Amino acid sequence: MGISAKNKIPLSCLSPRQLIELDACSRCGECMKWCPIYAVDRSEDLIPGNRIAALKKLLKSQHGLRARLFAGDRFSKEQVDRLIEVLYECTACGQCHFVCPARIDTAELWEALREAVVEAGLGPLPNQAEYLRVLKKYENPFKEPQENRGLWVPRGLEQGTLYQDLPLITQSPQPVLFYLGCTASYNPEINLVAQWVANLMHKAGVKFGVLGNQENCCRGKLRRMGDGDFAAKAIENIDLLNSLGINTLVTNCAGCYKTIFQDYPRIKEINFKVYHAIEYIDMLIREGKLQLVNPVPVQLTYHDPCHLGRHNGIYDAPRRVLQAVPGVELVEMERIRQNSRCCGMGGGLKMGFPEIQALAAAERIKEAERTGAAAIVTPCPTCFLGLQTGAAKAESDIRVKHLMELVNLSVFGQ
Amino acid sequence: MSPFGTDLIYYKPWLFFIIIQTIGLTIFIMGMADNLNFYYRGKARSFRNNPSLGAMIKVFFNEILLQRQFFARGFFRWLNHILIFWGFLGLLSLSAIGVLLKIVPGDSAFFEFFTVGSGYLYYKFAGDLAGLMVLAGAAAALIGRFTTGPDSIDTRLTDTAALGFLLLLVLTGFLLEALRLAATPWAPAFEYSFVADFMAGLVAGRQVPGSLMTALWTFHATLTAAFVAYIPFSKMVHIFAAPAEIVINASEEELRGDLYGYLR
Repeated sequence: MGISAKNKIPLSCLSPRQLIELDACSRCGECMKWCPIYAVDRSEDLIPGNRIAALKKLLKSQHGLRARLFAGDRFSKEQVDRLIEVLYECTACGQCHFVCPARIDTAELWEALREAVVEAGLGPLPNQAEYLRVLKKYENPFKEPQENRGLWVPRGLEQGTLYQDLPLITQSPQPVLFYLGCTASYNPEINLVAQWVANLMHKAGVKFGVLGNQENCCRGKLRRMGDGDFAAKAIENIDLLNSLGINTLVTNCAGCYKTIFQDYPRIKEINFKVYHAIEYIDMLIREGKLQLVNPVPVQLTYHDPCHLGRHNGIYDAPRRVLQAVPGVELVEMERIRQNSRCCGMGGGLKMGFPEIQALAAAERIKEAERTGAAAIVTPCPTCFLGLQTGAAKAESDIRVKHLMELVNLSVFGQ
Repeated sequence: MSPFGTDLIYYKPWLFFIIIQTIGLTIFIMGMADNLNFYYRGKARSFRNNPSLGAMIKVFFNEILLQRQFFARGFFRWLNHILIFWGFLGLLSLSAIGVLLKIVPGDSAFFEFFTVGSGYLYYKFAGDLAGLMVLAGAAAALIGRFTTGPDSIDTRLTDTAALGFLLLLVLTGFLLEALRLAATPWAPAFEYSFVADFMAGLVAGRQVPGSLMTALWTFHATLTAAFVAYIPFSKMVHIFAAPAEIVINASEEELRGDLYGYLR
């Protein structure tokens, strides 16, 4: 049975540029050499160039001249299902964009195509659909009640890991908002990262507050997986954030950072600056507001998160912070900066293909091992978790560290 | 008479040529119109900010004319593609001159320069050079595609067909010219047509029937028309779409500024 008329993929979700991109690909094969997912799952239809060719054929069979003259090529349900699977077996890391001779903006293209297939009722994959349903219902992917979102503050104070209380920005207006995101709010291990950032910002004299239970999910995962509700949900957040009277938003989550910094302004204007915590800490160090005095003697390697590096050009700030920590010796991996190998956590891949994510992260861990470093650090909580999975998969002894832990150790000595 | 002697050594069915080229061109125009219609059915925004003309111009020179992005991936990768790119542009320009010669008055300076003047020699030299560039680039690309090893490129019939089309076009062009030179008393001017002259040496002394040359000429003309018609419906459409994408991206990428060092 072929694809039905009601599953016609709308071109309106894509821009003319993105439709030109489908023709710009000559399947030269450059992307094949760099794709972190094809490296671990050698299905040829995963190669970005092949994915573009297949999707172009499907779209032209529904919208092109041949579709009008000859009712288009027939695609079987199995063929369409595989195409959709291939579209989602990708982290949208953007590596293919950086090596593409035609400069096709692949990460944006995959997201727009996902939106189009979701609108046609063909995506996302069942696991991802369930993830998104939970996210929309609970405002987080962990099925945690919203009233527990701010519990980390009293808990941190009680445990002595958070050194100072944090004002609720809705009750006590502050110029800076510290936006945690879901993982840091509910996952105890990642919440420690948020507490380190908060301690460092207090130490530097930054006047900031949090949203507590009023903080919503950034809803970035909706965009990554093509959910059409993203724009409406994002506007709710933008209106809330714009109403706070802040001049700066700092977030420790690379995914939230990309969503708020890059996606929100395309939907509605935002009236504040957005920083990832590592950029902000780098700025505080350079302004002399934070002194990294305690040595942390370790040889380590740095993993560039896709959402900070390739997607937003933040390569130098984390490296400057690392170099500011006394005792740290940085050894770089083979693939860094624009060519950093993705850990597999982005774009909803983890939800759809957890085994592929583990394999991709294991590849990155093996690369880190080849440097001889004792630890691999990253400033992204999602990559931090993904690399931990990779280390377990690769049965590696390398330690996976969050960059903020090193800064915290160097500033506070504990 | 041109420095190459007469062109009238075998029969050329010009009426067939005109018909087949018209058909090829009509299919090309219809295909491109359909492509444009397809592109403009996209309703999302192509540009997030105002287009940056400066960035687009710089990148046009660097990545379309000089193809620096290929160089970044390796010298031979760049060489393959730039040979095909400039060779193809050269052949296209020479074909345009050929069409103009059928239109302009026979007593014009342009006509005289390219038929009996030194322009004819340059025309022949440029034709052989451009053809050789396409031949070398396409052959190297084809070899690269079929190189065995873990990094070998996934190659499909459409990839082979596109490169094979190019190779066949240029080879039949050279063969035609070589047979014509072989059938004509040698003149020093032949050296300008250096590839065909070399090939003519290989068939020297053999009688090639005029009917065979007519058939080859017809085949070459049909092949060019088919190639033109094939462009909008094949991966060859990238010759228009890729440059468009490169200049659009230059404007957008400037916002992020980490892909093109020279735009900073």
